[in-house]
Amino acid sequence: MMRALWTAATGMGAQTLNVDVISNNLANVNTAGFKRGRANFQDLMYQQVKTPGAEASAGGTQLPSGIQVGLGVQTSSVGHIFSVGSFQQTANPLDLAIQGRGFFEVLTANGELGYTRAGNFSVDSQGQVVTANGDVIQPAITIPTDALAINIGNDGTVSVDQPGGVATVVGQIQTVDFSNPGGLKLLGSSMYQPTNASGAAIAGTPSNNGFGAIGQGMLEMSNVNMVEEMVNLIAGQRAYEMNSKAIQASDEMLQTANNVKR
Amino acid sequence: MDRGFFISGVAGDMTGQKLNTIAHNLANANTTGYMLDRTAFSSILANVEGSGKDPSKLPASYMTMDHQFISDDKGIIRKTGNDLDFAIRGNGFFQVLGIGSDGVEKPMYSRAGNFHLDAEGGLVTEGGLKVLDNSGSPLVIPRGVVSVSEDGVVNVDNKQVGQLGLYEINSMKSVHKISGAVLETEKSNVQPAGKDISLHQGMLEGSNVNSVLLMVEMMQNTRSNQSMMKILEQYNQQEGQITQTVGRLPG
Repeated sequence: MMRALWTAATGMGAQTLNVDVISNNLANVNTAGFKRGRANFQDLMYQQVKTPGAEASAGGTQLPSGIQVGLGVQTSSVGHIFSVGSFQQTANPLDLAIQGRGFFEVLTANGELGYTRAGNFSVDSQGQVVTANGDVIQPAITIPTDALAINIGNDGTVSVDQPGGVATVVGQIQTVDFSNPGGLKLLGSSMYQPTNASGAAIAGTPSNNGFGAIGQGMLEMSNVNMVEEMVNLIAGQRAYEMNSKAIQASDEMLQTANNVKR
Repeated sequence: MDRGFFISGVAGDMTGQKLNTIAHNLANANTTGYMLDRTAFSSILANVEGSGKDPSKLPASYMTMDHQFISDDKGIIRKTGNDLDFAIRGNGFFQVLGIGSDGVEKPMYSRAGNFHLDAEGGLVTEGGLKVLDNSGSPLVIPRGVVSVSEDGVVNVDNKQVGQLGLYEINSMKSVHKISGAVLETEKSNVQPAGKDISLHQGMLEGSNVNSVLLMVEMMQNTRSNQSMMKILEQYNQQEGQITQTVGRLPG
């Protein structure tokens, strides 16, 4: 049987995954803090048909170059692109956007720390600042019940206006960074977890030492570019079709061979 | 048995080999930095069998896979906006630390610029191979905003941290492909990149597979396979007639 059949099948498989990733990006085009994924492909191993340097004749001449036949393609990774998404003004005092590098640190329901850039926070029944999923921001910040207004500075200082014109500082938002954000593991809900590849979390203060400033009343939307995804979708679908044609061609050739003897 | 039987059979098999290469190229139509393979065929045994090396008296010759080309055409460069994506304009290659066929680490070459960082901040390729700087040691990028100039100088927060090594390969003939769009070649076959080669951050070079041409090649290949098989069929019929009719007594 022909290698081409399996080679083209790897191509179809890879393009299926490519389209999967693109559709996930498109589905999340309006998800706050979503970072688009990108499927990365690699050529598979090569089979040696002729080794370069092998003896070519009895006279001792050597082959200057060999022949390698490739076996197709594999997905090497689905990477997350951590470019900053577009900002949207919301005027909600607990919508926070990080303008630059950094992640919010939150305590997830299973007791582990999670990291997110989705800044659509709200206040729970105890007055704590929580994410849309109810995960408490770390270090925890409690908003007093009599607060009239919440002000969050560029450096993450949280202060509230209380009756009588008193302004009280109630907490400080910390952001963390990673040497390789691309190595973070995606937990879903725009939440990430560190891995060996991302390195450990480095804590910092917003607008300091390379950490992005906090923008209050703003949300970071997804960094998905609709047009780009659409173009990628077309390219992926066409590549899928071409690989299916290669399968068809190998099938036709095998059929022709079978028809030689009737 | 007629010699042509085997000649057409072998030629038919070679179209199958060619399709293998075409399918591999098509499978990698969307692989960053992939360089197209092309197999050249030639005839063998032409001057051996009874011709006395006179080309006009050649009885027949067999087809065989002769050698391979790796196309150094350029792929389409597209903008990605990712800080760790790089595209090379011109005939340059990144130098990465790969493991050679002898199991020893050695510099290898790639045009696939979709790099990542490892946990220590080292720049690595998609396949996890370390990317080397212009002095041949692995490049480490501290945390911060990365900007890379057209000649490969890497700045993090406006401080220079190193320079990406860019190289040219003299002859693409003595190059060996490794999985992951990486090429292995002798050190004598490379030289530092000239002035006409520039690096572009936030861009990626796709594969240099021209899918339209490949589809045409594939159709042509299928047809040539069919004609080979037709000839085989003719020989088969001929042999059949011989065995059926020769030696049969009429009446």
